[in-house]
This record gives sequence, C-alpha cells and structure tokens, in this order.
Amino acid sequence: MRNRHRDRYGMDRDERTLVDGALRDPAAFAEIVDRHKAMVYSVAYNFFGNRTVAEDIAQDAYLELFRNLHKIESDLHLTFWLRQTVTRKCIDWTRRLKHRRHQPIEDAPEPSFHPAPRDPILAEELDRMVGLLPEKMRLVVILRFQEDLKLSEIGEVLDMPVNTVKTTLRRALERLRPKAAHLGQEALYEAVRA
Amino acid sequence: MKPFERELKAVLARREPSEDFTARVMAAVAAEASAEPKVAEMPVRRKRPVAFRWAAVGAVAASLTAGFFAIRHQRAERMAAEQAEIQLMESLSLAGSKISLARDRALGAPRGD
Repeated sequence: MRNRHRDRYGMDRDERTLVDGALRDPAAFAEIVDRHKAMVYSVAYNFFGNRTVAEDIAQDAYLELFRNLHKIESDLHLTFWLRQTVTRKCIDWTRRLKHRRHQPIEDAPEPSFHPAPRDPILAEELDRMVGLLPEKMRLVVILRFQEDLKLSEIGEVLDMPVNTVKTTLRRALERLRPKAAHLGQEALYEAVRA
Repeated sequence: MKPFERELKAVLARREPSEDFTARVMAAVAAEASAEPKVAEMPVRRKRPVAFRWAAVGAVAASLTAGFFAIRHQRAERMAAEQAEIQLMESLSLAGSKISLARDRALGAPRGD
C-alpha cells in the first residue's frame, strides 16, 4: 500500500495539491468532480429516483463547491461538505419543486452504468418504498445504506442528534421491512411456480 | 447484516451519472467564472476624506444655528414694532381727547371782552 503523507487536517499531499490546484486549474477541479460524482449523483438519484433531477442537483452542488473551494480544508472535509451540500439541496429542491419522485423515463438521459438488481421485483418495490419515506427519513436510509455511514456521521451530515438518527432509521426499517418481506415471499413463489 | 438490509444496500448502491456529466459541470463552472465581474474592471469609487464629512456636518450645524438666531431676532423686532404702534395709538388718542377738551373750553368759556 502506498504510504501517503497526511497534513494536520488529514489531507494527503496529492489531495492538497489537487484542491489548491483546482482554485486555478480547471483540469484539477474536473478531477475532483470525477472522484466524487458517483457519491453526489447517487444521493440525489436515490432521493428523487430521477436521473435528470439528480444530475441537476449534482451539478448545482459542484457549482457551489467551486464557489467555496477556498474553504475546503481536507479530503475528509471535502467529502463531508459534498454530502452535506447534496442532502441539503435534495430537501431544497423537494420544497421548491414539490417534485414527484418518478418522471417519465424518456425524459432522462441514459446512465453509463446500471447495477443489476438481484431480485428485480423486490428491488423495484424497495426503491419505490424508499421514495415514499419522509424526506429526512429517506436521507437517513440513503446515507446509511448507500454511503455506509455510522449513525454519528449521519447525524453530523444532517445536523441531527445521534439518538434521533437511530430512532429515524429504526422507524424507516419498520416501514420498509414488512412490505419487503411480503414481496420477497411473492417473488419466491413466482420463481418456484416458473 | 440481515438479508433485507443487504437487499436495501443493493438497491441504494452508488451509480454513475451520464458520461458527459463532468463535461457539463465544467462548462457550467466556466460559464459562471466568466460571468463574474473582474475586480480590475469594476469602477473604483473614491472614498472622500473624513475631514470633508466633518466639514459638511459643521456647515449644516452653522446654518441651523444662524437660522435660529435670525428667526429669534426677527421675532423680537416685530414685537418691538407692535409695542411702538400701541404706544403711538395711545398717544394719538390722548392728544385727540386733549384737543377736544381744549376746544370745548375755548368755545364754552365767556369772553373777557
């Protein structure tokens, strides 16, 4: 493993150079966009279930990063900042647009990568049910299962106490689990019948 | 991790945006960067010295004071004039009654001759 030297903010030399360079060099900023675009886009996509809206939100988040690049202190700070910005933008966009989670598929650009669901019916229904959760609850679920964040980290991103995050996550899973279990059984039944 | 949570994790897995996403972000960044007014091109507004401000404040204060004294002086003059008018009217009235008394006496008094 490559030995990386980190500064007091936890930023390694390459990353520090990249952030400093991005202030002057568009190519360096493009590299930052490339490194984090899957995370930023996926938070918005899993929140809205819409590729066009997700890309607009992600682009908006990067524009804001460009304006605030001088405030970024470390690699960790950059990731945290982007997560927090994109989650806030998701909530802002929901309130601004009163947007439906699902839009006609012909409006959306083609993604470059489709993860293959293991059980298409269950996956589609789970995706739909996640979209029906209240905003904060949905974000907690996305940050927990997409980003693998700890409860304390989710609390920092969403500016919520850890106990509230814990309760919110428990309630979200309670809402999702019975329906998913029911669907899972149906899918199994269909598979056996076929 | 439970099977249900694994399923949820698979459903919410990270995915990539469209191929041209980075290019579009960079185009938007470039557009914003070019739209921002450059500091050198902005008109520079000269800041007036502090003494100018104090001079302006002093001039306003002096004008107000002079106006106040002028009004007070004018009011005093008008009161003096009114007083003089009253005195003149009283004097004329007194003189008139004395003339009238003198005439009555002159007409009513028996002549010595």
